[in-house]
Amino acid sequence: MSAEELELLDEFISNHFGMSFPTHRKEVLESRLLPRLRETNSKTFLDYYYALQFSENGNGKTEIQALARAITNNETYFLRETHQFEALTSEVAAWRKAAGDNAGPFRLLSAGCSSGEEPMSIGIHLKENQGRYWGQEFGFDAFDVDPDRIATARAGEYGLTSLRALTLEQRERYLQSSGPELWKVRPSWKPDVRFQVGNLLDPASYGPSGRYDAIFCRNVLIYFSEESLIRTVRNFHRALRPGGLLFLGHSESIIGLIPQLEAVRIANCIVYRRIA
Amino acid sequence: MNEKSSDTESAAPLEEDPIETMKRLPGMPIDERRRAIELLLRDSHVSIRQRALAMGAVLLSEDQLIGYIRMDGDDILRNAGLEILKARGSRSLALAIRLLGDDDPDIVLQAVLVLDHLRDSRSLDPLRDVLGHPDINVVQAALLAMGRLGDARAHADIVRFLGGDPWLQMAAIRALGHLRSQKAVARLEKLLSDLLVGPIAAEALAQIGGPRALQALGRHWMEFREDIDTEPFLSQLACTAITMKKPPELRAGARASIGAELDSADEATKLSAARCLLSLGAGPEDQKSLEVLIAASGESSHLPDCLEHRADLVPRLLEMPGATRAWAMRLALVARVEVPGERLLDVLRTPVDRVTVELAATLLEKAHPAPESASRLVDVFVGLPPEQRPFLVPALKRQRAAVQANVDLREDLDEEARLSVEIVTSSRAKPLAAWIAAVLEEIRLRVLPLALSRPPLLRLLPWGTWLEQHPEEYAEIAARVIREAGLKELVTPMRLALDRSSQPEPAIVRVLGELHDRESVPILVEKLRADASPRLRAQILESLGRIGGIDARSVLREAAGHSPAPESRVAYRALASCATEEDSPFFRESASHSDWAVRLACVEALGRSLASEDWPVLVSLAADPVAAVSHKAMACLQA
Repeated sequence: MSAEELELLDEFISNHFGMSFPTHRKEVLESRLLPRLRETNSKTFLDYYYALQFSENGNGKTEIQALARAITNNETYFLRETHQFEALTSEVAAWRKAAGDNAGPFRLLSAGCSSGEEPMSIGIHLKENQGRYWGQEFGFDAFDVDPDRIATARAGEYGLTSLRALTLEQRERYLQSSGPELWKVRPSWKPDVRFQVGNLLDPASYGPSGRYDAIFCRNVLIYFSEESLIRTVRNFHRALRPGGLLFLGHSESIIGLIPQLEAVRIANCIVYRRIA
Repeated sequence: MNEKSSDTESAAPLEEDPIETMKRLPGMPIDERRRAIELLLRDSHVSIRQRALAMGAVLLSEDQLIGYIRMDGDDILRNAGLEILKARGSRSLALAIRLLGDDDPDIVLQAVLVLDHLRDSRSLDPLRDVLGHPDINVVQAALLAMGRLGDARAHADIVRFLGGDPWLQMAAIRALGHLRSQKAVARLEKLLSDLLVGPIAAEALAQIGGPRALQALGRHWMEFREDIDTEPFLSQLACTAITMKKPPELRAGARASIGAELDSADEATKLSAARCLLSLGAGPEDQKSLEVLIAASGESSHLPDCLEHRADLVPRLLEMPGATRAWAMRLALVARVEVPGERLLDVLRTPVDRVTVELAATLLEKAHPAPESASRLVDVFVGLPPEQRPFLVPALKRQRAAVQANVDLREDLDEEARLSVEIVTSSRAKPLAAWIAAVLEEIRLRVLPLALSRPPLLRLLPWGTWLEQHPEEYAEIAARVIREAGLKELVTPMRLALDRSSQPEPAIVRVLGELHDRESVPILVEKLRADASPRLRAQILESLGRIGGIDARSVLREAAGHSPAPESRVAYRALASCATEEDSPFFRESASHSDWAVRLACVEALGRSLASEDWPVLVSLAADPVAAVSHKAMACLQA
C-alpha cells in the first residue's frame, strides 16, 4: 500500500466510521483490506478506494458495510472493566434519591456495542444492585456500525470467548446453555435492549437531544482521528441530559477536548459529566 | 532573529480550532504559517503536534530553532526545537557540531542528542572531544552516540569508561553493544555477575553476537542461573545463537538446564527456551521445543527465525499439521533442501491455503519426480481450486508424457479436468482451441487462465466474438491475455467492445489505458460525456491519464476544474501522470487547493519539470500539513 493509498483509505474510513489508520497501523489496515480486494476483484488498494468512492448506491453501500466489518475491532466480552459499573450504580442511586417518586426510567446507551456483551453486562450489574434503587426502571439502547454484530446481539447467543472473564459461578448464575458451547443470558437477568445499526459520527444514531442519562463508549475512540473524535464527543454531549455521564475506556481521555464535558471522579473512576 | 520568539511569550491560547487551522494552512502565507506552527506545537493531539514539527523542519530558520532550544521557560518549544533539528536530518549536522562548543551544558547535551539521531560518521571526532565535558549527562549521551555510530575507532575511547562512574559505566557497556565490538567480549563477560550492570552487559553481549559472546552467556547461565531473570536472559541467548549457522557447543549441561524451562509456568519463558534450544542446533529437546513454538505462533506461515538454520527439521515439520508445513517448505527453499515429490503431493492432497500451494509448487519444480507420481499429480491438480491450478503448471509440464498417458487411461475425470490437463500438456493447439470454443462458458472461463503461457493457442480463439457477446465475462481474461501473453492484436476487439457498449466494462477501459492506446481516446471521451456511471468515469479518467496526449490532457483539465469533488481528484491525478510543461501553470494555481489529493497531484506534476518558477510552490508544499504531500515535495526538492 503506497503512502497515497493509505492517506486516501484513511480519509474514507475516518469520514465514514471515525477510525484512523496512521502510518504505524498501515500493516493492520493492509491485512484487513486484502480479503476485500479479493472479493471486489480490485487489483490495487487504489482500485478498492475507487470501488468504495464511486460504486453505485447498491454495491457501494454493501461494500461500505463490508468494510465496516473488516476494519472494526470487535473484541469484547462480558463484565469487562466492571469498576465503571460501580460508578454507574452510585450515580443511579444518587439520581433516584434526588428525583424521588418522580424518577422516570434511567436511560443508558451503549455506543459501539459490538455483539451486545456490554449492555448485557450493565443490565446484569444493575439488577444485582437493585436494592440500592428499588423499583427503578431502566431503558437500554445500543448501536454498532457492523450489521453482523447487531444481528448477533439481537440473537443473544454467546460463545466461550465472550465469557472468558466470568467465573463458573457467574456463568451459571447469569447464563444458560442454548447449544454446544453457546449461552444466552437467563430471562430473569436479561435487560431489554434495543439494538440498532448506527454510526458514532451520525447524530441521528443517538435520537433526540438529551435523551440519555449515561452513555458507554469504551475502547473505541482510541482508534479515532482527532477530527472524528471531536465530532463524536459533540454527539455524546448533545445526546446526554445535563448532568448525564459519559463512560470511556480506562486508557481514553477527552479532558480539555470540549469544556461542556468535565471530568469527575465517582467511585474511583474518571467519568465525564455534561455540564448544564 | 531574537532568541525568543516575540509571539511565544504571551503564548495566547489557540483561538481557532486546530483542525480548522490545519485545513487553512496550505493557503497561508509563509510567515503566517510559522506563527500557526508555534501554536499547533502546543496542541493536545499528538498527530497535530507531529505535523507541526514536520512543517517546522521545512519553514523555521536555524536562528529560530536555536532560539527554541535556548528557552528555559518554555519546555514545549525547547523540545520542539530539538525534534525539529532531528527531523531536518543532515541539514542540522553542521549546526549541531557548532553547538557542541556552547557554554550552556544543556545546549551541548541537545546537540549531542541531535548527532546521535543523525548517525553521521563525521560527528565521531567532535563527539570524542566532549568526552571530557564536566557535565556527566553530556558524557553519557556522547558515549551512546559514539557507540551507535558503529565506527570501530570509537572502541578505545569507550572502554576507558568501563571502570569509572557507574552511570558512565552503564553507558559505555551499552555503547560497546551498539558498536558490536568483539574486542569487548572478555571485559563484558567479567561484568555479567555485577548486580548493577550485569543485565546490561548480557544485553550488550547478545548485541555483539558471535561464538565468543554466546559461550560467555552460556557460562554465565550455568553459574548463575538461580539468580538470573530467566526469560530476558534466554531471549538474549536465543538472539545471539540465531545469527550463527553453526553455533558452538555450550558447556556440558547447559542444554538440559535450558530444556527444563520448557515446563515453565510462564509462557514467555517457555517460548524463549524453545527458541534458544532450536537455534543452538539439533538436540533431544527438539520435539518439545517445536510444540512450544507452534503453540505460540498460531497459524502464521512465516518461518520463525530460530529455525532458519535448521534444515534438518524439514522432514519433521512436514509431518506436523497446520502452518508448520509452510515453515518446512520455506526452510527447504532457503536451505536448498530437496523434498521428495511424493511428500509434497501428500501435503497438497490435504486442505491447504494458497501460500502452502505456492510453496509446494515451487519445490515440486526442483524435485525429482517418480514416474508413478503422474497419477497423483493429476489428482492434486484437478482437486485444487481453479485459481490455484496455475501454480502446478510447471510440474505438469515436466512430466508431460506421463501425465498425458495417465489422463488417457482414466475414466474418473470430468470434462473440465481433462481440458485443464490438456491445455497444459498437449501440443495440439488447433483441436484444443476447438474444444475450448465448444465447451460450456463457465468451464471455459475457469480453464482459460491455464492457457496464458500459450500465445499460439490463444491466437486461435474467437476473442472478438466473445468480447462482443459477453464483454462483462471476458474483459478481465482478455486483459490478462494482452498483458501476460502479449497478444496486442486483442486491442482492436477490445476497442470495438468499448465502442459498442453503452456501459463498458471497467476492465476494458483499464487495459486500454495500460497499453497507452491512443486510438481509444476519442471513444473514451465519448463515453465520459455520455453520462457514464461514477465508477466508470473514474476509470476512464485514469486511463486517459495513462494514455496522455493533447486531447486527453485537455479533457482531464476540464474535468479537474469542473467536476465534483471525488471525480476532480481522479482527474487531477490522471493529469499529473501525463502532464507536460504546458500544464505547469494549471498546477501552480491549484497548489493551495483545499483537497490534499489535489495538492499531491500538483507535487507530482511540478516535481517532474522542476522549473525555477515551481520551486516556491514546492517549498510551500513541502510544509504541507498532510504527510503524503510534504514527503513527496521534499523528495522532489532533494532530488
